[in-house]
Amino acid sequence: MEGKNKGHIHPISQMITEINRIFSEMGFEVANGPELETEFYNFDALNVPADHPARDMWDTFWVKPKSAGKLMRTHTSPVQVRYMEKHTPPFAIISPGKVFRYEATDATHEAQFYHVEGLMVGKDITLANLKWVLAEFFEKFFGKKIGIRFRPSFFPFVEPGVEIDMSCFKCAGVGCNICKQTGWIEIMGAGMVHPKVLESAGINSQEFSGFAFGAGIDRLAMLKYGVDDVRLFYSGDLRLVNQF
Amino acid sequence: MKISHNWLQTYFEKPLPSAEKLAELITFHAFEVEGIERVGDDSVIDISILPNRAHDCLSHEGIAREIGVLTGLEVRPRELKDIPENETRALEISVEDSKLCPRYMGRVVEGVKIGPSPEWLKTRLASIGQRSINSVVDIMNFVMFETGQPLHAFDADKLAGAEEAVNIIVRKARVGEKIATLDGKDIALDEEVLVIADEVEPLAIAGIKGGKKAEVTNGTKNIVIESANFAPGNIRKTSRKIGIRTDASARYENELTPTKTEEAMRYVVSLLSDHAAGANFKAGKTQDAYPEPRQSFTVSVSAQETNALLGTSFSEKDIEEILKKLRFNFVMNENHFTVTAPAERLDLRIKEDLIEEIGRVYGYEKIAPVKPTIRDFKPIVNKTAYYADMVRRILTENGFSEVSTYAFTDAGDIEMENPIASDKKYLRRDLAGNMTKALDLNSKNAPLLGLETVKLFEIGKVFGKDREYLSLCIGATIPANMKKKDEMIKTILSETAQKLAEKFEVSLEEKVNGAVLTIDFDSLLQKLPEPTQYEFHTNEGRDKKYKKISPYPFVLRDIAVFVPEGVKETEVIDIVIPESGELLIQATLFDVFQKTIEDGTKKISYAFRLVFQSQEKTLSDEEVNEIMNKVTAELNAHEGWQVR
Repeated sequence: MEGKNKGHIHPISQMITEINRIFSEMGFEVANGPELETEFYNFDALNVPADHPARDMWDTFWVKPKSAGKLMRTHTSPVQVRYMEKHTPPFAIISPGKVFRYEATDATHEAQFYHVEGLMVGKDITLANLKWVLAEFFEKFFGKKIGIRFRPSFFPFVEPGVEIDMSCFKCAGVGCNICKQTGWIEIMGAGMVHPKVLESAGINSQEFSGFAFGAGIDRLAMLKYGVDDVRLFYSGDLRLVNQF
Repeated sequence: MKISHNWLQTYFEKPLPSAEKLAELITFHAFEVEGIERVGDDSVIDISILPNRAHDCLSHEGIAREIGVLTGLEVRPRELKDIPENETRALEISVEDSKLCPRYMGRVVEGVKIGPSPEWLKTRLASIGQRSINSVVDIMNFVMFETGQPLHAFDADKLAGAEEAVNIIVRKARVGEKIATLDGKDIALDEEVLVIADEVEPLAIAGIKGGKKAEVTNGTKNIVIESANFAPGNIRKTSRKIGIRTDASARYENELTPTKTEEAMRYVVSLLSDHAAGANFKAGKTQDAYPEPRQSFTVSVSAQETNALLGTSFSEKDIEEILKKLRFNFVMNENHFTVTAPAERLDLRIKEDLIEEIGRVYGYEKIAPVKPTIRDFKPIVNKTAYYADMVRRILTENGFSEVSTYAFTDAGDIEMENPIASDKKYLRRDLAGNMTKALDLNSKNAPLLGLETVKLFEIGKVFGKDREYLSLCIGATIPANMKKKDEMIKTILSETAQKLAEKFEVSLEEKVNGAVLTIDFDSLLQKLPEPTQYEFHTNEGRDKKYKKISPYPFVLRDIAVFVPEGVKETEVIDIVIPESGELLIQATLFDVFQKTIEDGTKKISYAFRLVFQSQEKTLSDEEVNEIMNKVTAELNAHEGWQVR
């Protein structure tokens, strides 16, 4: 088959394969899990109890009947919990996959999209390690050195919790339309795994510590490729796919 | 929460840094700042307070404390007058369940004079987008935005048994009870809803909304003030159930410390005496139903534990200094610091919470990256990713392109409780439905895409009644009308399946339905050997830049030209493309034939399908004709070339 008539791999698949490659080379394992999850793995095991305001941080699709506690996963953290239950540290995994949020769709919001989350647990894993791993990832992903900075934030499953900005890959911090003139792009949430989450998965939090991070792949793709509407990724439209 | 810079300044003797400077400090050491707005001569900072700090920072007082810590500036103690207890009608409080209402403080205040609020108060409220109602209601709201403690006032004369003594009962509502709220809603109550009631009926939905019955209006002379604490879970549940969310309920559902009620009560009565006092202003005895006073919490951490989590190298002295900067009360035992968590800091309970305090105030930017060492971990190759990537390579090499479609659809075995749209109620049980739609869509755009055959595939999860599994679906269609179309499609599919079966050396057990073929990929994976190494191929599309898809229709034109033998197709296209200009987005050769004319010379005919489209508008026939005329003229200008 000539190259001219070759088909095209979906840009999101291409990005996931690239992310898998970079992290595999760093010694991470790639893990998968179900998209139709239980409330336990999606929330309770992650220190997000029912009737708690933290639940409002994720708009959830529930499966009928609601009493059965089944939902479409809102992040791929449940994959990490399942992995922790079956393995003893040390380990390092990423869990790329489709996630679902109950949101009105528009150019930057979709009800289904892709997440990639990472987890590293060991005897002396620190926040400084998280910084190193992420800087390394961004450099390999964008093909140049990218600055990162942490800002205090909150997620129930990490403590400390941080939001992570990366320096704009397009203007290197000078300011452009991609980074809205600020020179920085908000790209990830992360933190040190909450001891309750470790214990709930059967890991001794006195002996082990870990970091976790999560990012939206669609957003990364829109930033990197310049795609202007997230819905294009799921419309089955080759006018998008064949550009890649 | 909206925080006014001028309002914050009232907490400090020394001048505060500008709103922009404060926003920067807050962003890197405390919270996310959504934006800064100028409101008159004030700057209002919109701060995103997340659930872990909603206990203490949904107030100017809380933010002022944070600013004090981050700038080192002293926070002024609050100025208020303690109004002595006087003879008023008696107030009795009974709380049915102290788990739902850990603390209820009530105080009768007689002789209030309702009027417009003083200008400074109106300005304060307006700066954060709050309406001024009357002096009493405004003061209640002001105290809430100052201290974080919601307050409520009842018109004492409208309560049952008003003259001599009033009874406030905090209880669960009974089935059949209802309440008309202050803003005119009629809410049906049930035994899960906590209400504030008199002997006759509910007066307010506890912590959420007051009722019309005991509303404070312009004629109100005597009030009962409520400064209380409610269990967060119940408030949140009720708020969601009745669909009412207020500034008060937002604070309660994030949980507040019951110790907050005291100062708020003293403060509000002080303000009432200053701004809403009539001739016979009297404040009665403060009744306090607080059966289980909260104990203080201590949390311990060491420098070693802090360094082990953050990756820093603090000494004991360093930690001591940071804790002092945080203005925590602490003692040091051996190498452990034991901090008494301030009452309102419900988020400080384990050592990791303290480590976060230390880290954020120290500054995360100061923590240098350190490469982790993970020994004794052998990552295994992800079988699904490995084989899915292999399938992608094989299929794209055979001209198939990958699509990704919606999991939610109009038919399936699993139904959503809260679907996003009426035609997306179910989880897809197979990929065929979406594939058929995608084949259709791309068929219409085939000329634009330069495709004679549309060949697609999808790898995605599908949901049966008892099983979620990965499915591989391939589909093909031929846009043009031709005989034996269906046969050709069948052949494409079966040949492709054959190629996959040969590569994997197993039976695929594929299902074919017209133009669509599906394979249970998870089942297939089980038959394949475990991979030992990834085969990552470099991506050619790595640095591709997306070009916006035009929403305007495309226009098709064909052009065919006779050229002398020996002239290559590329020579023709090299003229057609530049002459056509930037509105040409696709040019495909669709026919070639040779012809021998009477005098024996040979000619070749090349026929191209041209696709025109604009990013700005729908192209008219005239516009396209003009381009075609140009192209024709240029082609004809060549010796021996003739456009047909």
